[in-house]
Amino acid sequence: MQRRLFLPLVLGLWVLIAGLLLRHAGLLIVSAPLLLFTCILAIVSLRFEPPAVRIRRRLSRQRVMEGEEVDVTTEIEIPFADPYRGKISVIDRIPTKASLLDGENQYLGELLPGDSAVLQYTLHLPRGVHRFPGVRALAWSTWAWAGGTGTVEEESTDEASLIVARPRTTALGAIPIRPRRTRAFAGTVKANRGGQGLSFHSSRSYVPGDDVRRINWRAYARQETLIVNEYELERMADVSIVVDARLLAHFRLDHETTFDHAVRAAASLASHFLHAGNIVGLLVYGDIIRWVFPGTGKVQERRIHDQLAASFAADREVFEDLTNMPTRLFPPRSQLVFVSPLVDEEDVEVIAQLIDRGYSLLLVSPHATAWETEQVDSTDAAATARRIAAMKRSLYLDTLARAGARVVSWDVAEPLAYAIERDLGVSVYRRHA
Amino acid sequence: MTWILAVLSGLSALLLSVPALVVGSLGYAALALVTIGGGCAAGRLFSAERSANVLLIVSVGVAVAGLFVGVPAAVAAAAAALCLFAWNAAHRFAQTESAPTSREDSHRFAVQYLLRAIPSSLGLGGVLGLLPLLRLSLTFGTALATSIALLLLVASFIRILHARSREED
Repeated sequence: MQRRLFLPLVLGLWVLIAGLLLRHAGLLIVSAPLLLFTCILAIVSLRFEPPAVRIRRRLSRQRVMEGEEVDVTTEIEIPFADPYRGKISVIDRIPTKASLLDGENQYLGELLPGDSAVLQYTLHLPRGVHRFPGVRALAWSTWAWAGGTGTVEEESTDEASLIVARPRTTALGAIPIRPRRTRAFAGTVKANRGGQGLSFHSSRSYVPGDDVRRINWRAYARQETLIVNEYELERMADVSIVVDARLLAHFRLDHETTFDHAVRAAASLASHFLHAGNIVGLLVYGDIIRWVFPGTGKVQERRIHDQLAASFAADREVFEDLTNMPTRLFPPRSQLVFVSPLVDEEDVEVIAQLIDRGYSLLLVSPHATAWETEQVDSTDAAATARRIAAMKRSLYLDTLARAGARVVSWDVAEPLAYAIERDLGVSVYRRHA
Repeated sequence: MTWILAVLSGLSALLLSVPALVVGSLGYAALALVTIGGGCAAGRLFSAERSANVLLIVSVGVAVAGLFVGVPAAVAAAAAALCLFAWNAAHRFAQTESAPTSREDSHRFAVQYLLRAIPSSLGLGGVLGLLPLLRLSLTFGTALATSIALLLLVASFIRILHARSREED
């Protein structure tokens, strides 16, 4: 039942009654179009049947880096057998966080059965997993007296209804890590054990079976006993990247949050350690526990980036502090890379406990001190507050550094590579040699 | 589609104010233009459907008031019909505003609607105005009979619609 019929009907009745009461023929004549209009609306509504619309969507790319553009082409068709004649509006609704840069996502006009139309538009996508919410088809009779929602048959594949915008990554310089335990396979992480490698590790007495090329002839000349050089073994290491996704740990900048920066840092670090041949896993802690099982290679890099694309900071009571972090997921005595701005002393304590349990820890702590300084007033109170916050943060980081963590204090206004170079003392340039 | 509403409402206001000026009712002419024009402008503040409802009520009120200052009944009926088309467009096409469409498609769509709405509204007024020439005077009795017949038709169709919607439920 169409409720919109009532307004012209009620208005027509009012004018009709006024005409009867005043015995005014003009009023009765004015009531005629109102009643006639209602009558036609009712008749056409009875006969109107919206069409079935067939949709086929194609994407220029299904996986992009955040901030990149995707061209979408949507083909609209009304099947030849459909008896529909009238006007139609087909809106290919875009994902909630996407913005339309160019083109149109609506077809408006007449579309006869068997005809087709093509929509072409360009989307700008922030980080995330973006799903197209579907197509809305509105159809009207030729004079638009009646209208309704048409049925939509979407022939697009699942891939054409989903775009993954993975976080932006930056190239990082060599980041030396020293986990207490490494894997048996050759890699790039120094294992603190003698064997075959590139860097000198130690010397020992010759035993039969040793490679004669490793005999240190100068030492033999001095000591008259055979000494062999040992080199430091380079092995694969387990690296677990932990991203702090607790809403209370992050704050909003202009149009981003420090969490967005933390995610980018985690993606860059994951790519870096995977390219170095390590076994890398990911834990995002804060919304739900998002866990990517450790693995190697390009497929693992894709898995981690996909998980980071879908991550967001959330406020869950159970994840309010780090005590509920599932540490059993991390391989024993492996390398942990923690990306967290740190909230309070409890966080520091939990991280220090991890170090006590044998994990090697690299903490990347994003903050936005420079941005905050620009935002707050230059009053004495603000300056004092800023100083207290900086001291508190410095205290947390110093405590962790003393406990054995390697700390990168990263102001998100500067490139991560420079922060790593400054705090870890390594070059931002990749070592290709 | 807000400009379909603006064109039809503006035309309706003009249709009412020009005969009022001819019969010397300057105040009514100004009132019609200001009320309907103001209603269109104020519509931007509210949802398209709600503002169209208010505009229709105001426009029909202005058309009825015109009868008492000497505006011919046929012209008032044509103005009311134009307002009805404007109201219908606002209701039908409200959701098309949520997504951009190509300028040509939008233009063609609006022109097609206007080319149906304006001639049929003016045609209705014209038919009513030409009836005396055909020696068919619209007296109180004939107008009443027409209105009652239409009312009965509306009632019967609404009953059918109601029955059908109950069947679908």
